[in-house]
Amino acid sequence: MMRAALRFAIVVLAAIVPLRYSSAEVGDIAFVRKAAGTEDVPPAIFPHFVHRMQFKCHVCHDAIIVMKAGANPITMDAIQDGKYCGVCHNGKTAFQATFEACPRCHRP
Amino acid sequence: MVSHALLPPFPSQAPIKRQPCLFALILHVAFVSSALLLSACTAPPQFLSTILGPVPTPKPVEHKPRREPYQPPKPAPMVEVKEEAPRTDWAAMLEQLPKDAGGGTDWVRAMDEKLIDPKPGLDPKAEDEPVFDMDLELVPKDAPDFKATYPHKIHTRMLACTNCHMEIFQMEKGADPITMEKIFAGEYCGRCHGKVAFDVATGCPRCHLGMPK
Repeated sequence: MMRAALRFAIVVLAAIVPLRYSSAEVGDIAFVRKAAGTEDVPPAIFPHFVHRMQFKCHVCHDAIIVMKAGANPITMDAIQDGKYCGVCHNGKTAFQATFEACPRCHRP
Repeated sequence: MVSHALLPPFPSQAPIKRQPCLFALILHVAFVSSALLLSACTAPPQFLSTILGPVPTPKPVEHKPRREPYQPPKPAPMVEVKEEAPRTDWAAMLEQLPKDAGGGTDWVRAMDEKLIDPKPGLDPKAEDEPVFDMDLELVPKDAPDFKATYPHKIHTRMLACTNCHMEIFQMEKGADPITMEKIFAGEYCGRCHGKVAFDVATGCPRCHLGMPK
């Protein structure tokens, strides 16, 4: 009986919680900054929908980016070296990570 | 009869020799030409236009300025501004895509209706991986009415086999203890559904095909 009540509660809660995702930008990933010293720059937000409109999932997952939160040690240096976002964001496939392009990912 | 012989012959019997009167001819031509000239100069323009064609209308004379109007020189910019290529409004494009029952984007319909065409690789010549068509029926042991159907076909249109196997799902049937609680908690199907794929709370009949829509 207790187990059934818990089960019901979990289902109801889980049904309510994802409603916050039903905005226009489903699947956006706000990265959590782990490096210190750059607190004045807002953390990067990855718009999933922009990317999946152009490429299939397996183009990035899991060869470039692992499908697990916090599993990708993405840094600006790594992007400049052509890793993670830098595979495409190099000025050829997509816009380059330059100073002019900062607010396109680091949205305030 | 003598007198008759002395008289000159009768004029009617004499041969008449006609002399061309040059003076009269010149006078005639001069009169006709002067009459024509006089009529040409004094007659209304319709008279000549019947002979020589319509009177040409003169073109209006355009007087161009002698020099270009003065333009003050533009000051040179202090910083060179590169013109950026126009950005695509992705948010507006997302609103154009079809929506599912939960209000989220129906990505499968968007692909079916060719509204989006996600590329299979970064290389423009990259070829798509073959679609794997196999429906899996996942029947709970204690509640067979809540059986779910998993379509490989839709998933392999976007994902590669290695995205799910073997990290998220085992290959053997019944090897994964999938429950709705675990899916809501973000395991198994919940790794994508509720985040980037359709919502678990509002998409019941999309897996549980027997449920009312």
